[in-house]
Order: sequence, then C-alpha cells, then structure tokens
Amino acid sequence: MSFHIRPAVESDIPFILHGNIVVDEKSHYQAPDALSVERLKRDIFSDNPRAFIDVAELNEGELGAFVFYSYCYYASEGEGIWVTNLYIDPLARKTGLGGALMEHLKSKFPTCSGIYGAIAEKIH
Amino acid sequence: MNFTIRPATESDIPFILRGNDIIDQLSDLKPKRGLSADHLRRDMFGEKPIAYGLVAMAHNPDTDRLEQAAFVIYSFFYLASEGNSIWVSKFFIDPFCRKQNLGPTIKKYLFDTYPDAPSIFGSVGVYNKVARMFFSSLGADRYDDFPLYGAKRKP
Repeated sequence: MSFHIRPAVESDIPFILHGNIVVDEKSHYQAPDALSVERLKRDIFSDNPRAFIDVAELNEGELGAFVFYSYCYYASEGEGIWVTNLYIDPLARKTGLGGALMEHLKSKFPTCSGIYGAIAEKIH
Repeated sequence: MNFTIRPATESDIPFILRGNDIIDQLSDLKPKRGLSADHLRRDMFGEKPIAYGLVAMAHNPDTDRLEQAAFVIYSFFYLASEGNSIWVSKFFIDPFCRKQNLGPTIKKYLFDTYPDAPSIFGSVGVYNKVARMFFSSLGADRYDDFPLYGAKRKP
C-alpha cells in the first residue's frame, strides 16, 4: 500500500474527529474537553497553532491515518515531540503506516530529543 | 514564611543546576543528555525560549538572607483531550523552605499566569517517593492507566 504524508487541512477535520473518538473509545477515556471542530480550527488551523496534525493519504486519495502532536520539553533531554493521538484506519493497519508516521516525525524534526506519548494501558 | 515568585533569570542557573542534581539523585535517573548551564542559556534564556522558569525567593533563617527557595521549569504541550496544557519538567523546593505551602502557591501562580491552560502535568520517577508525595500534595491525580512511552533518538 502506498501513501503520502502531508500536513492536515481543514477539510480533514471530519476524519480527525472520527479517529479521535475511536482512540478515546478504545482507551475507555472520557475527555474533559472533547475535541471539537471549533477547537481544531482555533488550536491547529490558525495563525498561531498550538499543535500540528499530519495525515497519511492513501493512493486512492482517502485518508488512512493521522498523527496529532506538539512540541514538549524535558529539561534533562531537551525539546521533543509529544504525540497526543495516533490513529490508523482499520483498512490501513498492518501496512507499516504507524512506523512511517514516526519516521516522518523524526525526519521533520531532526534535532528533537525523542518522540513521547502516553498510551492507555486498558486499550481494547 | 513569606516568599515572592518571579521569572527565572540567568543568575539563577547555579541554583537550578543544584536542584536538578538533587532531583536526579532522588529519581535514580541518569539522563542521556543531562542539564547544563549551556542548555539552560539556550533553552530558557535565548532569543527563542522553548521552556520557562519561575523562582521563589524566601528568607532563609539559617543564613538570615533572602535566597532562592524553589524553582519550576515548564513548557507547553498539547493534549487532544484537553487542549494546550502546561508541562512541568522540574519542580524543586529547597529543604529550608519545605512544608511552607510553596508548592501550591507556585501551582496557583502558573494557573493565574496562564488562565487558558486547563491543566498542569508532570512525570514523576516511580522510585522518587518524595516527588510522588509532593505531586499528590498539590492535588495532582496519578494517571496509572496512561504510562508514558518515549522513543529516544538514536545517536
């Protein structure tokens, strides 16, 4: 399966919201401030973004995955990348897309100390 | 005990490094990079800071002087579930100023300074009992269901 990774645009919002709901459900997690179209527009798709989303577009033009991330800082390690959500559509799983997104981040931020994220232990 | 809280400056670097050494010892941590004066100058006091610091000053009864009593190093990160949040990387209180409510005061200072930040997060070494008790005393919840994963860049 071939794919192309690019920065998300506003028209990707429905896919991002869908993926976020799936991740929260699998994590058995109820977000205190559920992700919304308004928050995505304000925090991601604005002149002063707080976080970033890159999507993987499959060769048919459909979206297969996204990685939702921001900068983070560990005094003992330096600046890193914090992955708050990584979603891969069931149809695109086991194709190397997750690893490709991680490699993409490492290449995009060559001086970052590492990639970090907190993952629910009770994923079902 | 009275104290004042102010943004950290370069003159606080020796105090921050001393506190950081104590934290690392308590956490039984041997960081890959470690923290140096050069790192602090670049990351916190350079043209484009990527982290920030607060220092609390208090009267030290042992020396009868106004001294640095605590520091916090923090930055911002984003949680899809909450929004832009504060990440506390280091939080140190000098022994002479412990049990004086300084931790909650600094937490309130951060929330007051960044009213849009919904939460403050930090990661504590599982072997650092002092830090775990300290964060609990701040009213922080422990997220046992969300262990932190990190993929360090290989040299």
